[in-house]
Amino acid sequence: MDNQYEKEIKELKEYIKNLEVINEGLRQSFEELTTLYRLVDIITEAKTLERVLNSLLDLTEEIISCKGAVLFFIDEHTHELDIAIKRNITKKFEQKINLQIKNKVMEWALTKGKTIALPDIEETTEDTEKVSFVLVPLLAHDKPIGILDIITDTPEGNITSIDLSLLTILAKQSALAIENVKLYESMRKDQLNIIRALASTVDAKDHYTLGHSQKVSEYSVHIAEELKFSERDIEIIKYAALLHDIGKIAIPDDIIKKPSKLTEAEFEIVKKHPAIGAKIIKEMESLAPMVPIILHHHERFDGKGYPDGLKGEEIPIGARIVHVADAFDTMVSARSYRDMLPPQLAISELRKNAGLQFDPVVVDTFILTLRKIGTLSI
Amino acid sequence: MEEKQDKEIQEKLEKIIEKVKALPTLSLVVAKVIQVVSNPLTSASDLSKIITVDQALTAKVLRLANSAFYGFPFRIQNITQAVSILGFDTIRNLALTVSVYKIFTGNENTSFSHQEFWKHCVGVAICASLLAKKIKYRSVEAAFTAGLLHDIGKNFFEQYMHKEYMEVLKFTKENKIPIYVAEKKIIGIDHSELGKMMAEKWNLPLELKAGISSHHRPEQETEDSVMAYIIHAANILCKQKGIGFGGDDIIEPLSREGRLLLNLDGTSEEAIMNSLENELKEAEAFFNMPQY
Repeated sequence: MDNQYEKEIKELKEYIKNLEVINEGLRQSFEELTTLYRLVDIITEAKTLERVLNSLLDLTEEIISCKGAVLFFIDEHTHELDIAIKRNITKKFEQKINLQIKNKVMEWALTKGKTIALPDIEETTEDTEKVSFVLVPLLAHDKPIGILDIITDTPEGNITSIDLSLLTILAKQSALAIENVKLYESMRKDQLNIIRALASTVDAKDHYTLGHSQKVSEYSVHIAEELKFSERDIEIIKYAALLHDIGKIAIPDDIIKKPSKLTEAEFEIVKKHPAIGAKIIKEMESLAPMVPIILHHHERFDGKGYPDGLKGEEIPIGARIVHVADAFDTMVSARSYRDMLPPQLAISELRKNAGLQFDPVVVDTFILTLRKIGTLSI
Repeated sequence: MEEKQDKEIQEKLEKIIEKVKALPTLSLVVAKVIQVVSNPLTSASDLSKIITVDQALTAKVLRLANSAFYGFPFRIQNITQAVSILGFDTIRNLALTVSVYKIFTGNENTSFSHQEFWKHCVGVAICASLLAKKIKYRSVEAAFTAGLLHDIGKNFFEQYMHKEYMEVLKFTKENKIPIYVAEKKIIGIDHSELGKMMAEKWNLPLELKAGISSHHRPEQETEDSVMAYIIHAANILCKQKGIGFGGDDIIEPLSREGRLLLNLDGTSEEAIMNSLENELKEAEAFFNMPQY
């Protein structure tokens, strides 16, 4: 009888032990999945190249004990390895890494597209601590774009297969994120170049206004910064100001360059430029937030402006800012019909018209920023 | 008459089954290797400890690891390094391949040129790994190994039923038919069916079994049809290209499903053929596998 009990107890114990092993396995798998999910999440959330690269190194340090790390990008044309980011790379580490490049170990890992753990290929007697390396190629759509070289104090034989897999997945996600960020940045650069090109077409039409758009943009940014606008809103106002007169390309040259006062009929034509500009910019979807600023940059605070006769707060704040900046730069620059005004006098004009033509808050802020940047000495 | 033939075939088959049963088992070391590699917490040292128990295996794996095929710029000194550098899967598959072919070592009376037969197997292996890479199959390494082993049934026929197999080869040539049709007619079982029995006997991983047993009838594969199509297509492509000789010259067309599954068209086929040619040049170390 006792024997029977003992046997059953033994079996139960065995059973429990098995369950514990299974449980431990499950726990570990869950942990790996969580880590993996976090890696992917962090990398794909990173919006700038710098963030992606730093996240890659941070996460690498979480996966493996990391003495130092360096990430190379492959130059598309020369196929040479350029350092993109490095961390804790001492002179000694640098020598060892250069040796790996020289001996084509990096090249090998890149051609195979494989994550490899590597012993120190030229350990010298001076080396007091033993290190090994992990080379992780960064592949985006099967194309190698870079390679991560990790220096670790874990001997290469002790690195587990899951660590290597995690590093491989991390590198893969990073490579895609890097490609995306680069694509985004190059698209942005293209977009900015288009904006600059558009802005320069206006300036090219009338050499008196050369650099005017640029100046208005700078002043507007200063005001927006002083008013604590968000980064994005500052950017919108920056480019809207640069393009505020884009509609003028549709106004005949003889009116734009007329050295004397415009007739009423001519002025009616000039008054069309904000609406024309808005129409042009509307064509580019990504520039849509700039449209209201361009459309309303000739509205007056007292409602006597054009095209819609908006009043006070009805006028978008961006348009109120550009209006002040535009008026100021026009006054202090030479025009075909008059000489330039000294800044001091232009300021008095702004002050005089605050609450009538201009938003008084914007005028005050503008004067403050002019002092700060030293355009005004008082 | 028919009945008598049937009975003869039945008896033959029973004999073959007996012979397969009597095949030596794969070494315990390889069984352990397969088990340990499937555990993600395994390290290179863990795997090394298991392999180095078998000195002959260790030497062979190291020789292959240092061959031009892998082309690592430094001498790989030990199994730990081999695992760290070439990867867990590669070493598992090298150990497996070496052990499988060890069973067919020292066979002098060959019915077809060994060199050419091996070239065929290596060609299919490389081609399979290229196809696997292309469609992001879960293990490129397994595709390579399945390619190396896909005609393992032929090695069995050659070694254990030499006389009949000579007849099969002659019959194939005279009637211009695929070799597996001749095998079926003369022996009663073809090399892929036999391969399946061998894979089961040795507990080979599922994907390898699929490549071995279904490379002539991929549409019938139930466990890993992707691998079956990979080896099927690799086999056809190698024959088209005239790489090595597997027993016949019949080139069967690649089915539409196969093309679809492997995303193969004229351009991608040509790209694979080009890579195949380059990699084959480096793969000589594998040509004399049984002699290793």
